[in-house]
Amino acid sequence: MKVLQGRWAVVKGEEPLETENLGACVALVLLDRENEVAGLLHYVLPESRGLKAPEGAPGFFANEAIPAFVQEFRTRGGDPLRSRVAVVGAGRFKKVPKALDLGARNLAAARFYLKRLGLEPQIEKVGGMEPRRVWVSLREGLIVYTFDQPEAL
Amino acid sequence: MNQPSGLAALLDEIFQKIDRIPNFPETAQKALRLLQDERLDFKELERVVRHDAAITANFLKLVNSAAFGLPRKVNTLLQAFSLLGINQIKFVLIASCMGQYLKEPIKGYNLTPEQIWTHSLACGLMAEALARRGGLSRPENLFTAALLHDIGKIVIDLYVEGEMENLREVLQKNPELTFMQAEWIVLGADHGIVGAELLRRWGFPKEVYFAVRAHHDESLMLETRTAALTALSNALVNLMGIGTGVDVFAYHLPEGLLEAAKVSEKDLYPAIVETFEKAEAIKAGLFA
Repeated sequence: MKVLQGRWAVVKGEEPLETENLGACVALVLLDRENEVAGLLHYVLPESRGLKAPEGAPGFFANEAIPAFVQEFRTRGGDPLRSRVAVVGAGRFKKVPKALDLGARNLAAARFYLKRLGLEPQIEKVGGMEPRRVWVSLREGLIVYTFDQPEAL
Repeated sequence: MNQPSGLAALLDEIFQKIDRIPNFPETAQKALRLLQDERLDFKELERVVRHDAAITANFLKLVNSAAFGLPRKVNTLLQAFSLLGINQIKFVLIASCMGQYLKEPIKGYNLTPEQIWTHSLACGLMAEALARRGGLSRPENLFTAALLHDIGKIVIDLYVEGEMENLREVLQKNPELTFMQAEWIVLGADHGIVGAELLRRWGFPKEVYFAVRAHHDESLMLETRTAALTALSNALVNLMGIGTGVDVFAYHLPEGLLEAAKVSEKDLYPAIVETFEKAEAIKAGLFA
């Protein structure tokens, strides 16, 4: 299942979840092999600053999306505290003014909101100028594509 | 007789070698000329545009997407014109023409036709959102530049065919280079300058082709507001991950870009949300 910008998906079973190229967005992966639950969130901006998430994209802002995604993961039978947690994306231009460094802000938001929920990423494949996308399934685990080259993590 | 040398000779060579680049549609050229006249007659405009069935079909598909917020579905060009502003008509007209250049993947940049069309449309929408927030009163050349900023990628891909692998190799061996520098090393030109030359040959105003020329050049993009807004729109759409290719972040953005574009930092998130909503609406209409 493709998980587009501003969405998340949680599946029980082996259905794979994937993103397109992430840009400065962040893909947050939760993988609970024991309870056979996998989840993937694809957020665009670190915080809402009073803006409303676009219709159909409740996962647009990290500050709203991360708690809601983790909660749904729990509701579907996953245990986030016993899951593999991965953060991927947060790409950055080679040289960029601070105001346009959304990748750095998105990464900081992932760490901040995960920590508040007692979670710490075991895998971070973040930053840099390379295009990245994510593919994850319970059976095959997490695969990060950089320049379309797969890397199992 | 003076022979062109250096870059000029290379551009001549590129455009002589490529016989597969279609002309910018005559219909659109005529329509854009009519749209410059303040006493515009919608019936005359409709007579011109309807000659091209592909442009007409794309035009109606685009305006009926939620992105343009029309109060009801329109079935004819005349209905659409009467509900849109002049700038919106220009925007949709150019966006409608782009479809014909985007039928094949741009392999060297790892882009599908859907990705490059979505990326280009999103840049046009972003430019519109930023210009409105920045109080730009006559942004029509900006929309054209933002929509067509990557057209040079199509030309380069046709010119070099399979040789784009060299580009990736140069970048991987020399990660300190920008993608634009790698293009110059391998091809002798970059997609900005090639796109600008195409638009110059098509008769677009200098403001448009200069912005296209400048959209990855960290000095030139600061020289005009249209160039800065075009470059900023492209950067923000890349950050959103919309239709990005291999070169996505392999560029420098200068300090001072927001100032040159006259865009406030507080306007960035609202413009991103607005562009996302409109791009989603257009995608749903075009690619459903």
